[in-house]
Amino acid sequence: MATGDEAALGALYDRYTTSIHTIAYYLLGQADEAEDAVEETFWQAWREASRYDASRGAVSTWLSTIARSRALDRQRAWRRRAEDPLDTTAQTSPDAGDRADAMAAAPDPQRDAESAERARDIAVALARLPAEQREVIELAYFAGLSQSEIAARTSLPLGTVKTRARLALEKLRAPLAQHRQLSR
Amino acid sequence: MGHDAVRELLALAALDALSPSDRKALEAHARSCETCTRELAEMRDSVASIGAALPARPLAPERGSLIRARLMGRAVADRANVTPIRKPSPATQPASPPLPFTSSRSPYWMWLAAATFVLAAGAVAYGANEHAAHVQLLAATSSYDSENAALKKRLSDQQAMISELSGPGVMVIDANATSARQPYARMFWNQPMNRWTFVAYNLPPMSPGHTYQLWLVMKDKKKVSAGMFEPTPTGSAMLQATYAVSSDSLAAIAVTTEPMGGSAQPTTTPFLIGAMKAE
Ligand SMILES: [Zn+2]
Repeated sequence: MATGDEAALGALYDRYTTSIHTIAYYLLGQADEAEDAVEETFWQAWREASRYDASRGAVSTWLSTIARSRALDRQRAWRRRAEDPLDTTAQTSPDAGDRADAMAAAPDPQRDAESAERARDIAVALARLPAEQREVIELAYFAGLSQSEIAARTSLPLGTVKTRARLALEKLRAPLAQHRQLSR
Repeated sequence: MGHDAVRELLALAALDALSPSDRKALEAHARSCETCTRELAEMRDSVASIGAALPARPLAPERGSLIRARLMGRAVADRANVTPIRKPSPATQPASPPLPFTSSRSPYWMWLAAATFVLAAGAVAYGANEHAAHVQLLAATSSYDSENAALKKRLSDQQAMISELSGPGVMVIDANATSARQPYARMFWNQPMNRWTFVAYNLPPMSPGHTYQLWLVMKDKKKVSAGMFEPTPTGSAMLQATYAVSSDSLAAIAVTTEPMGGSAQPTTTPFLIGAMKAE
């Protein structure tokens, strides 16, 4: 990989496409946007392979970090376009993954059903978290909001947002740590 | 920012939700704090576990193959761009008519365009200047059938082929002809591996009892069969062969129509021909 061996890119792609596409799909909710994010993710991984440091984490973590960044870039671009009344592309842009902002578009039963299904899947994935922590994670992870945006949205002090995010990630980490113990 | 304040930020950092100033402060601290660096990595694992807990949403196989093929093409192009030994001089660049790849919407053709560009450049860049041959075509080409699912799938699925078509010393020979359907062909000659990969489009349908046969035409006029092939219903074909030929003995490639089973020597006039051009 780091030596620029495209066979490694193929192997990486075959191994991780599904997990990367899953992340992109849940963040973007649009098949074509998710596909573009998948391609951008692997392309970035290929170009920045030398920056991957095995001592600092698993390949899957590194890739999913890239995938989320690329998907969030797209979300933020939609949001910027939606907020800029002079930008005519806003008319055709998909509604942002930020579900709270996504009420503008005309009713589309199929899309609504898909987005309800996504929301349900996300709730299940985060079911182990108390509601107040889950809210922070949903806004940060899936909607890509910054700490101050989360504070504004939830009317919480910044310190509380930090604490809830930390508690949530500590709770989510536990099974992974256990798994590592077992697989050692 | 002190250690305790930074630790409070690690979760939001792993979620990429920090303000730019907080992120800078954290990065500055983490450079010299082993504990925070390790905890940040653990927080990133937790964030990754969120994605892993979602129900898997695989890409449709066809979409996955197309994206894969596009990535491989970009990677091949990327490698050629970052490691050229010598830049192609204008004289060695293809003088053939512009390829109609860009007029197609199919990502496969974008990939193929990227890959063939690299092959052409690669043959030069890897010091094949003395031997590098390029292609001159009998006639101009314009449009051809850009939809061939079988070829698409086969090309995108086969990792081995990518390396065969992209290794150092690969030469590209284009073959064209003018006819009602404007057949077009391209030969990838991987000289170090003695591998020949021939792809053709818009071939006329076969008349019953006949086959197409591909020939390597040597400078001494000897013609060596590189195999027989049948076009798909959309007029596409691909053929691979292994045959050692020294780079200076090949004059052209040609395709003829032959009786079923093939011929020892061509019995008809080639309808598709691509001549090697010495640089
Ligand atoms: Zn520290």
